[in-house]
Amino acid sequence: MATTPLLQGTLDMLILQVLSRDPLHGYAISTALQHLSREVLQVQQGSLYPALHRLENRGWLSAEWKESDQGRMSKVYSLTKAGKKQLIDEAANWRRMAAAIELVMA
Amino acid sequence: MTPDERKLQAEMDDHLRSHAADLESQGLSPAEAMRQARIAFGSVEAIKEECREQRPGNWLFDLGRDMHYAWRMLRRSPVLAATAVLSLGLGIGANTAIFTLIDCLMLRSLPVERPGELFAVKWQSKKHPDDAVLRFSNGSSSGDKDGNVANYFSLASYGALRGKMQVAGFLEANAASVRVDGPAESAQVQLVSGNYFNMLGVKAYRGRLLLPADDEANSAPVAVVSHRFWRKHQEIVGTNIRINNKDFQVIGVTPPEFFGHEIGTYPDLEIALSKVATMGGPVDERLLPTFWWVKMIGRFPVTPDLGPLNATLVHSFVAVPSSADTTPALRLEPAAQSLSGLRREFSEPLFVLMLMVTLVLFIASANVANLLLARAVAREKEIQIRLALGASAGRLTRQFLAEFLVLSLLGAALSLGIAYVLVQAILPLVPGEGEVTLLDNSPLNLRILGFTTSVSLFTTVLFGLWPARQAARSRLATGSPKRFSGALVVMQVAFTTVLVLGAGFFVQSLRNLNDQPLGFVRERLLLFSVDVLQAGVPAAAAPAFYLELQRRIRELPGVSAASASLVRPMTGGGYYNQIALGNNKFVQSALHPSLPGYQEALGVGLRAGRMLTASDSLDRVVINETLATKIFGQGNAIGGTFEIGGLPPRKMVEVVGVARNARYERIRGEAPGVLYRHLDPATDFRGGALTYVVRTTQDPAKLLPEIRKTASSMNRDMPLVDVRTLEEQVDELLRPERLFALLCGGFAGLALLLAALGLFGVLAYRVNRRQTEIGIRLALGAPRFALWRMVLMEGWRWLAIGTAMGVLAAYQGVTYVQSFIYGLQVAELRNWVAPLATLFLVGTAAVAIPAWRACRVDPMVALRQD
Repeated sequence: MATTPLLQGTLDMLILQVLSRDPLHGYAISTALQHLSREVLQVQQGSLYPALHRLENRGWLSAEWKESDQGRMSKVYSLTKAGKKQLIDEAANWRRMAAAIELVMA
Repeated sequence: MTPDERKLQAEMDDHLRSHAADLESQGLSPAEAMRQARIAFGSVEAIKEECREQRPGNWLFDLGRDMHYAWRMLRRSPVLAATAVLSLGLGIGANTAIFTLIDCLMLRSLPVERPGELFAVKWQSKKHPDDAVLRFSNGSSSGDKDGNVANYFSLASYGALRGKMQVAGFLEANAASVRVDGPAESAQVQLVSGNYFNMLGVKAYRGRLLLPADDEANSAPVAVVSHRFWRKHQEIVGTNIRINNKDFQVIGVTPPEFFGHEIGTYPDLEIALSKVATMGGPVDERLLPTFWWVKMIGRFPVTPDLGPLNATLVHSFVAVPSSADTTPALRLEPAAQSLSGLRREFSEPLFVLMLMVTLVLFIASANVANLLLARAVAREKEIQIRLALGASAGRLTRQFLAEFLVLSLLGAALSLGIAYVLVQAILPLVPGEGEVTLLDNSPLNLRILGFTTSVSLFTTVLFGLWPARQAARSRLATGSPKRFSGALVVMQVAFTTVLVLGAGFFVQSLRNLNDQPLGFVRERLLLFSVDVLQAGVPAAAAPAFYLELQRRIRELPGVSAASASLVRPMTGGGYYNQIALGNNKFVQSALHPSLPGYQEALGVGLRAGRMLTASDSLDRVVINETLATKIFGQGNAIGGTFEIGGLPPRKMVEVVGVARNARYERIRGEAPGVLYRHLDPATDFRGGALTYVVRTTQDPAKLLPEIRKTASSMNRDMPLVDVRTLEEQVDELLRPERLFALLCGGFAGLALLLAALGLFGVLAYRVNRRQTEIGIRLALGAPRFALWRMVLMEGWRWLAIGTAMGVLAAYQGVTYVQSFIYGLQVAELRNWVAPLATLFLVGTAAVAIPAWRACRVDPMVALRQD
């Protein structure tokens, strides 16, 4: 299936959304995004990790180092309180925008 | 490796291994799985770098590292770095110098406590009050949008107002003869009320300062000296000195930073206002409610209610004002801005200069931008490798910016030195005591440092950002940088055009002022002033004394004529009176109340009739052509009579001669009507110096010792004040114009040099880059002349576009600039030819050299390159 590049500015929201279910490490976030979008959305690692670090610096994500099943140390990200609030805001924004675009395109 | 770096690496490793494990579970071999994972991931270093950039506060650390790196890179190309630093140093230095002038003349606050609370107290009325209300004044009144504004009060009105507001009165500094131990010297003496120092909050440096008790009518005469005066006479405190031949005891010294309450002035001594008799002049009249001469400065922490104060002011006039339009009201002006005439005089020229140096800085910065851009092109391979290795574009941009920043900070440091030298050279040319104001304070302050730093930062962002971004994205191969450097060169030429045109106008204007005929003989004329009253000669004996001095000077060998007038020619000030024509009509005339033979000594020609002789009575006068036309029209003036004076009693005089027009106090404007008359013993010897004019047959400087000896043989307490030749006097008068023209010319020259360098540099660089192409063309048979023309045309195109833009921009400013220009119509395009020709010649020279080099390219050598 063809992959589509992400819309500018949506990556942060998607990461927040994925992490709102479970804390995950970086690789798991990228595969989750791929699965959830049924292989349509392909995230470049080149933008995923800077985004994660950015969100962490803004206080929307917190990170913890945990030992995984294979015995490796993984950096696991989870949503903070501020992150949850940010997700609600961004999601509401997104829905408004998508609805508006749909109105125009219909 | 720092813990942060280890964690970053671990996170990347974890990702790769997780991905590889997934791929292995799909049946790939471990090695192949890892390879695939790495391919999918991309450049680990690049991603790590992007992540690092997300860290907060990182930029400061990066900046330090970038600047260190930039410093190392620049040290590897010292010629480029030195050129750039020198360019920026000159550009920023010119800015810092002009800003220093602005700082010391405009921004520096007065050296007193809470200067913001100080206000000059003046009064204003819509129309000038009737002569019946305001009889004599000694101060300046000027018209502005509010009508007539005056800065003087009568002793009575000052006395009435001082009880109701916190004010100090003063009589601004005047020259006086002061004898400490040796011979008498001329010093500036200011009269102040007893509360003056206390109100300003100035504390004594030695001894004590004046107190209200010192200002009582019968108090002992005491004086305070300035720190500058004290340095010359260190043992002075407690001793007696003579000021205008009267005894004063020196009680203290003002602190080093205190130069008075007005920038541009610096009194040497201060004595109490009640001792006004010391300064000579019509003492008794100063006590009259009709004589207005006291100035006031007040401290107002809160704005006072002027209503009741205005009533007090109006009552202190001798007569009731005739209408609302002539009713005076008080006016408060912030002291820092309003008191200094120097500030008023210089604010516009300084603004123009600031504009000019900003353009110079742009021109210099454009050179540096072009240099760095050229070098970035040369480093393109390196940049591409670094991008491939994972450097982010943002990071590279910052690194290039850091290079500009390092250059510009080095330039700023250099500029402080350049500015210091420039300011030292400029300040002595500033009229008044500006230099003292500055030099006694520290020439460098936080404001100036802040200004210089922000200018260099601003320059960095404005001129460094775009080239840095282009370089960092490795877009240099495309056309835009080429266009960018071309645009910079065009901009340089345009700015230079404006500067060269402006400088051309100002220099020509100065030349016109200098060459303007004065109406009398300029060469070999010596001027000096003496005041015998200050030397202790009684007023009754003064006329005979002055005549005797004239006689003795005339007898000196080498003197062909000598006389004296109450008015010194060409000082920018004079003595004017009204001439009544009857029917309540008046014309204004400048006066030369003088000793016999004044016209001859000055060398003013005669148009009709005869000159005044010693035997003429006081009612015989000579008037100049302008005045004759104003009074008598085209009719015959000889033998005609008229009355001098605005108010009765007037004085009837008869014209015996008409003199040719001559300049009186200034060169600009129309020559005024001038009346020559003998000095009147009844009115003209109440104070004020007489200025002798001595015509010599040889160099006047050689006669000076003899003249001094002659003067001191008559009275040893009588210093010769302001000894100058007439040429020096005119130079003094034109000092602001000269300073301005000098600076404009200097900045335009600098701009021309920098722009020529820019033009030359960019073209030479392009010829270098195109060597291979030129080689191929030559090998294919292109004539060398065609290549020469190709490069020349490219340079000329920039030159032409830039000049055209500059001319258009300059044309917008024509009306503004015209007010500074004398004897030259700026709008007339023929006056533009010489500056533009200069620009074209210099520009062509800068273009011709690279063009010449282009046609000297050896095709074989060029083709073997690369």
